[in-house]
Amino acid sequence: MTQTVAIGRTEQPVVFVIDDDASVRESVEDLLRSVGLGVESFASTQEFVQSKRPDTPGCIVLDVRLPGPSGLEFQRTLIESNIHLPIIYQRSRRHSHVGAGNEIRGH
Amino acid sequence: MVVTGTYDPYLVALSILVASFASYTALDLGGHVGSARGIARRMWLVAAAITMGGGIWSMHFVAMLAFNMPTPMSYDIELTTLSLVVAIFVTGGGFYVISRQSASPLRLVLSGILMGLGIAAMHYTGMAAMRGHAELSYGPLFVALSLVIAIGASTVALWLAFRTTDLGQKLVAAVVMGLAISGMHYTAMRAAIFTANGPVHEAQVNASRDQTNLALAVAGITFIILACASVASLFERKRAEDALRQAQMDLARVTRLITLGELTASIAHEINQPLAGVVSSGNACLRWLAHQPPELEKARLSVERLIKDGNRASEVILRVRALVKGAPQRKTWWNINETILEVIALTRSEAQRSGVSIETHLSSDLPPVLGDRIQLQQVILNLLVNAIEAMSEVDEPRELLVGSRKHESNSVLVAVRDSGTGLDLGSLDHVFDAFYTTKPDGMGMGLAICRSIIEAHGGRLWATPNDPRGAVFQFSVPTRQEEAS
Repeated sequence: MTQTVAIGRTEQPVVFVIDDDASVRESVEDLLRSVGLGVESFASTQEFVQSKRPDTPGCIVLDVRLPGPSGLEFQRTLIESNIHLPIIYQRSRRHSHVGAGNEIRGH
Repeated sequence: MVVTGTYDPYLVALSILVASFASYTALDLGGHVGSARGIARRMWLVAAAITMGGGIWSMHFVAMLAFNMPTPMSYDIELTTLSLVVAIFVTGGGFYVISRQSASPLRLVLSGILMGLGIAAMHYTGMAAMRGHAELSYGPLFVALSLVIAIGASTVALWLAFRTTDLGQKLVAAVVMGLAISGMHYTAMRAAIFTANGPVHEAQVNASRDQTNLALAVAGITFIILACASVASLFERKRAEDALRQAQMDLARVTRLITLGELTASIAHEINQPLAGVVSSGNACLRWLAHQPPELEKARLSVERLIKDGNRASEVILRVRALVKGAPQRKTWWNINETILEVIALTRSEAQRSGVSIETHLSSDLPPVLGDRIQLQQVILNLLVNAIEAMSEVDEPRELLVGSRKHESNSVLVAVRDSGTGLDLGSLDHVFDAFYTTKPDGMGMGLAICRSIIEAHGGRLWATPNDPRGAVFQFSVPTRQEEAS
């Protein structure tokens, strides 16, 4: 399972989780749902860019160590595509406790 | 009046046999000198010298018993003893010279000269010990010829014996050395001129019964001593082989630890990911339970995922621990594809960090291979890490392809193909040499160890250039024989 679309709840804010590791992706998705947030998850930034997303407020939780284009390149792509979502960088390498040590980059 | 003796042909044959057997044992013992150190080295040298000197001496003794003179002869004890001592010391010198660290043609010739002189010195001293009613003199031509035979044949025998561990060649060396000893003896006897100054009887063609018995006794005792020495040598060889195998295993383990050390960050990541999952799932579970009413089904799913991730982390640790442990070699039947996937799991995040994509083409109908799983994991690990490193400097695409397929009728072929910097033709010949490395901080042991592991499994490891760029490292390992259909 790589993608869960919150159908019919378009007004609710959605967190887009992008992480190539299934353990992290699925558990973060579960955690966010347990606090009542809408979640969509993707295994790569490409998958995210190509997906059809509901036009709702939200943010992106991004694994900084993803393969492929770097986080900054991804951010540039988003701006070019006129997608304005804040990105929370998740550095799972140094912090095993998810949620601690994350950086928020908005624009 | 010049008298001539006659020979008992059976005892002559026995004397040649004694010389050859003694040569075999002495050369075998001498072979240990070069690799031993300290007191052991001296012991082997002394044992080789005593065997050689004693062998020459008993050959001479048996040959003299085979020789019948028409006038009674006896031997001077002191000179006879001296002839044995001289033979031991001079041939000992020969063994000393050839078993120094750096064997060279000069050393070989010097050693051959010493061996030849030892043989000749024993003979002529032994002849001088003869007492009887006959004067002994020599014809210079045959004396010179006897020296040439002794030195020449000894040199050839040493050359043969010290360039190989092949049993057949060592046997040939022993026969040549035996010919050096007996050839020298009988040529020298041809040079000997006995002038009788007492009563002369008709020489008997056959040796007397007493002489024959004495000759058999000497030969028998010599054979027993030589057999004991050969057994001791065999045990030592076995012990040395065991020690070598142990050293190779220790070295393999050290290189394995070094390879794993390079992967530390990557392995930590592989453990950290599922642990992060465990923490998130645990938190999620608590929150599902805190709902009013509690969301039990969702909480259960969270716990299930938590257990799965816990197991995943533990599997990574088990795999690493198996590689770190210095477990004794154990050959079992297993599927090589599983091992390939396990090793890829350990290197995956290292590959990701270097922007390398890993693809596998694993044939699904592979028969099980026979081998030590940890050692073959090490080989695959080493090849993968090398491939990733070779690609870290080049432009994309950085593609690593790991394939497995049946090879010939009874082996499996594993190929690791990268698109990295590749190998020039010069380094293709040397990549498997110990201490050869193209990495700035490499030790040059990894591939040397890999090749020795694969060869110990009865397989082959080789490298070829990849097209359009990079390198392909392939190895084969034997599988279970196909059932006859």
